[in-house]
Amino acid sequence: MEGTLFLLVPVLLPLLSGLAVGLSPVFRRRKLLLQLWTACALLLSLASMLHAALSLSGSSLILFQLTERIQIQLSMDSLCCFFLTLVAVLWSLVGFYSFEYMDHDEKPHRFHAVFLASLGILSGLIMSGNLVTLCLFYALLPIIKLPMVLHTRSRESTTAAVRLLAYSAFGTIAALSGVLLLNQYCATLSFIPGGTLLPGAEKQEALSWIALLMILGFSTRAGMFPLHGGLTAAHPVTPAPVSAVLSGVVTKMGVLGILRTVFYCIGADALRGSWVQNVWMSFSLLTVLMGSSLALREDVFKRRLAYSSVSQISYILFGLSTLTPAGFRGAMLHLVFHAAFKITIYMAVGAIIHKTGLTRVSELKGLGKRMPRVMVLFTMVSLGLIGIPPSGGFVSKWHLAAGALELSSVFSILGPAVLLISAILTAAYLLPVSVRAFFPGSGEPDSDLSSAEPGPLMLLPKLFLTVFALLGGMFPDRLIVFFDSLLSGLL
Amino acid sequence: MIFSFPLCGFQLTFSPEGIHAVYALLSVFAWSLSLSFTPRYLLHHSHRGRYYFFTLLTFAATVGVFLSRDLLTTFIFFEIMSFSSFPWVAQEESASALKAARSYLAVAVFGGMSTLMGLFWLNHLAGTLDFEGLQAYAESIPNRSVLYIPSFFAFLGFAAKAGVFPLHFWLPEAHPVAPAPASALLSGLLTKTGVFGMIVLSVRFFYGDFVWGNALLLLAGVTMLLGAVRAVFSTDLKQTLAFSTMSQIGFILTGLAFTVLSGRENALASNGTLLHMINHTLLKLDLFLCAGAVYMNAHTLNLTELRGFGRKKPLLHICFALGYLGLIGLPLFNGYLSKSLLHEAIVEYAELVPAGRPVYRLYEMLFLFSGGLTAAYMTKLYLCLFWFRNRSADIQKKWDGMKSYLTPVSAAALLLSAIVLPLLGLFPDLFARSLTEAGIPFLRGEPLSSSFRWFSSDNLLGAAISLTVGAFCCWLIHRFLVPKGEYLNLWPDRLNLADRFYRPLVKQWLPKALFFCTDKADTAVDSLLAVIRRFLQRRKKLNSPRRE
Repeated sequence: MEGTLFLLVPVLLPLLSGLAVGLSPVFRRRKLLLQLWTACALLLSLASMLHAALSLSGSSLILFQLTERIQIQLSMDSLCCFFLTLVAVLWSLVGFYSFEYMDHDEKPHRFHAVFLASLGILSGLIMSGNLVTLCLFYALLPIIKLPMVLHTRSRESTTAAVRLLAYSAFGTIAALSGVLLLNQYCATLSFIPGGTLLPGAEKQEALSWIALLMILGFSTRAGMFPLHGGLTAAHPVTPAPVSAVLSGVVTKMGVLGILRTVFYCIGADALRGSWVQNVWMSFSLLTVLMGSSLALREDVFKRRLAYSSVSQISYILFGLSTLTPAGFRGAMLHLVFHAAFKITIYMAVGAIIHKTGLTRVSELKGLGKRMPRVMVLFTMVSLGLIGIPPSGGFVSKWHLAAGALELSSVFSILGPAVLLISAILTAAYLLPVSVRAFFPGSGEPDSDLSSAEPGPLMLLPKLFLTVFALLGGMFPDRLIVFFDSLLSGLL
Repeated sequence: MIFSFPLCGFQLTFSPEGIHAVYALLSVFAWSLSLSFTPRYLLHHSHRGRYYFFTLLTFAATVGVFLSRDLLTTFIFFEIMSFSSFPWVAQEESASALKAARSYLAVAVFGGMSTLMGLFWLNHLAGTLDFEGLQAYAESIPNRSVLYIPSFFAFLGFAAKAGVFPLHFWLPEAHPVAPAPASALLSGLLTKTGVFGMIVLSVRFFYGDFVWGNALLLLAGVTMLLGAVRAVFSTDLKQTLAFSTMSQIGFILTGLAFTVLSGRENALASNGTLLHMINHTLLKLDLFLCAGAVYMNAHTLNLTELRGFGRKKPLLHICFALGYLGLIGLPLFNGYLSKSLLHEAIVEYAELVPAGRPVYRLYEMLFLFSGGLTAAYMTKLYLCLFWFRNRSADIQKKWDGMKSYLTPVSAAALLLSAIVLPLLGLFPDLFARSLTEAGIPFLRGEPLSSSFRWFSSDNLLGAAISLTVGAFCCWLIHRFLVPKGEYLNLWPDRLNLADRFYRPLVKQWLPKALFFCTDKADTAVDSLLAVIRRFLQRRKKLNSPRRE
C-alpha cells in the first residue's frame, strides 16, 4: 500500500459506521442514539470528503496489485473532486431530511445503515483511479441498493428488486468484459485525460464495439434506452429520501462511468464521427423523448418522477455524446442542476407522502393551501427543470443545444428539437401539479384544509437546494469556468 | 447608451433610448393606473396578496423585455413575464378562468420553447443575438432564405403572445377572465412584447423581403378580420374588447408587413405601426378600466343585462366615449392618426408595385372594412352601455341608483387614462410626431416628412369610408343580432379553433401518437426477455416430456 492513506477515510468511515448501525442491537432500541450516531457519521463523512476533494487533489493510493497492469487504486483528479463535493453535499442534505421522514418507520436502523454504507461505496466509486477499481465498486452498488428497494417489503418491491438485479447484473458484466477487452488497446487502464489508446488502435473496428458495450453497460445505471428498465422499476418503490438520492446521485454514477470510459480511456477523438457516436446519440435522444412522454401518462407521482429522471439523465448523456466542448459543458451543468432539482422534487413528494399520505398526482388538488412552502419550492424547481429562464435548466439546455448545433449531421437540428419537445412534455407533467395545488377552483369545497407543513428538517434542505439551483442558474460563471478547465485536457 | 448585466452566464444588454424608453415609460404609466384601480376592484376578493405580487413581478419582466437590446435578454424576460402573468388569468379560479389559464400556460410553454429553438439556431448562424449584430449578419450573407426557418420558430412564440392567427385562440379566453386591471395590462402591454419581438425579427432580417412581408400581411389580414368579426358577434363586454385587441394587433401587423415590404420608403408604414401600437396601448388601458368599473358594480359582463348601465354616470360615460371615439378612428381623436398612416402606406405601396396592385387594392378594402367593423362593434358597446335603456325597468332602476360606483382614487386613475387620448389626437404634431420620431429607428423607418398633413382629404376620405361601413354594419347588428334589446349569441359553437382542433390535438391525438411509439421503446427489452423465456420454456418442455 503506498500513497495518501487519507483517501481511505471517505470510503471506510461511512461504510464502517453504516455496518455498525446495521449490526449493533443498541441502535434498534434507541432511536435518539441512532439519529445522533448517523448525524455525526454523516457530518464526519462530509468533512472528510470535502477535505479530500478540496486539498488532496492529485494524490493517489494503490491498495493492492492484482497484476502489473491491474491495480486497485484510489486517486484524486479534478473530475473526482467535483463529483465528491457534489455527492457529499447532496447526500448529507438528504440524510438530514430523512430523519424526519423515517419518524414513523418501524425499522429506521436498517434504512440508516444502508444509507451510510452506500455513501462509502459511492466515494470509492468516485475516487477510483482506474477502470478495474471503478467496475469493482460499480458491482458493489446494486448489492447495497437492494435493501433500500426491499425496504417496504411489498410484493411490488420484490418484483422491482428482481428487475433491478437483472439489469444491474447485465450492466456490470457488460462493463467488466468491456474493460478486459479494452485492456489490449490501451497503454494503461488508469484515467488520463484525453485517453490512453495505443497508436493505431483507433482504427480497429473492435474498439467501436467495445465502446458501445461499455456505454451500454454503464447506462444501465444512468437509465438510457434500451436498458432503463432497472431504474424505472426501482425508483418508485423505495422510500422518498432513497428515491431522491438514487435519482439525483446514483444515476450520475452511470454518467461518471461513461465519462471515465469515453474521455479518460478511449478518448473522444477515436469516437468522433463513428457509428458508435451516432448510436449513442440516437439512444439518448430516444430516451429523452420516451422518458418525458411516459412520465406524462403515470398518475403515481413517484413513477412519474422515475420516468422524468430517465429523460433528464439522457439530456446529460446526449450532451456528452456530441463530443463537443459546449455539449460537455451543458452536460455537466445539467448534471449539477438536475441533481439539485430532482432531489428537491423528490423531497417535496416525500413531504407530501409523509404528511398527507397522498401518492397520486390527481389527488393533490388544493394542496397549495395546506403545504404552501413545500409547494412553492416544488413549483420553483419544476420551472427550473423545464428550463424556464433564468433557472439552471435554461442555462444547461442552452449549452447542450449549442453543442448539438456544432455537429454537421442531422443531429444538429434534431438534438435541440428533441430537447425542446421534451421540455414541453416536462412542463405538461409537472406544471399541472402546481396549478392544481394553487388554483383548485372555487367549485368543490375541500374537505381537509388543515395545515400539513413539514418540520424544519424536511424544509431546510429543500430550501437550500432550491436557492442553490436558482442562484447557480443565474450566476453559473464559476461553474462554467471550472468545467472549461476540466475540458481543456479532454476535447 | 448600453447597460449590461450578467445573468445565466450571458451578458444581458439594455438600452434606455428610443422605443425602449417610450415603452418602458408607457409600462410605468399603465401599471400605476392599473394598480391604483385595483384596490377597489379586488375589494371583495380573496388572494389579493398573490395578485399584487405577480403584478409587480410581471411589471419588472415586461420592462425588461422593452429595454432589451438583444434577443436573449428579450427572451429571458419574455419567459419570466409569460409565467408570472399566469396567476392573473387564473386569479378568479372559476371554471372558465381555469380553462383559459390552462390554454394560456400551454401557449406560453409552447411559444417559449419554439422561440428558444429559433434563438439556438440564429445564435449558431450569426454568432450573436444582439439586434445590431443580427442586422449586420443578415446584410452580410448573400442569401437570406437560410434565415426563414429559424426566424419562423422564433416568430411563433412572439406571435402567440400577441394573439396572431392561428395562435390567437387563448387570447379571447384569457383576457376576459382576468381581473379588469390585469386585462388592461395583458391587452395593452403584454401583447406589445410579442409585437416587439416580431418587429425585431422582421425588420432586422427581412428588410425589403418580399416573401416574409407578404406572409406577415396574410397573417395580419386574417387576424384583423377574424378579430373584428368575432367582436361583432360577441355578447360579452370584455370578450368584445379582447377580440378587438386581436383585431387591432392585425392592424399593427399590417403596418409591420408594409414596413418590411416597402424597405427604404417605409416612412408611412413604420410611423403608422409605432403610433398604432402606442394608441392601442392607451386605448385598451382606458377601455378595460371602464369595463372594470362596470364589472365591479354590476358583477356581470353580459350585454343584455348590462344594457343601460352607464346612463346617468357622466364620468364613466366620458371616459368610455373617449376610448370609443379613439378606437374607431374618428378625426380629431388618436386612432384616426395611426389608421390614416397605415391606410396611406397601403395605398402608397400599391402604387409602387404595378404587378401586385389589385391584391394590395383588395387589401386596402379589407383594411377599411375591418375599420368599419371596429366602428360597428364599438358603437354597439357604447349604445348598449350609455344610450339604450334596459329591458327590465327594475334593473334599469338599480343601474340608475348606483351613484358611488368609483372611489376617488379609482376615478382619478380612470380619468387619467382617458384624458391622454384626446391630447394625442388633437395635437398630432406635438405628441404623436415626437413619440414616433423617438421610436422609429427601431423599425428602421424614416421620419415622417414635414409636408405630411394629418387631415388631408385622402385621409379624411378613408376615415369616412370606414365610418360609413361601420354605421351600416351597426344598423345590421341592431337589426338582426339585437332584437328587442336582447343580445343574441349567433356565432356557431362549432367554429371554435381551440375546442375543435387544439384541445383534441394536445389532449388526444398527440399523446396517442407519442405513447404508441414510446411505449414500444419502453418495453422493448422486457418483451424481448419474455420471448426468450417463452422460447426456452418450450424447449424445456420438449426435452422433458416425461413430466407431462
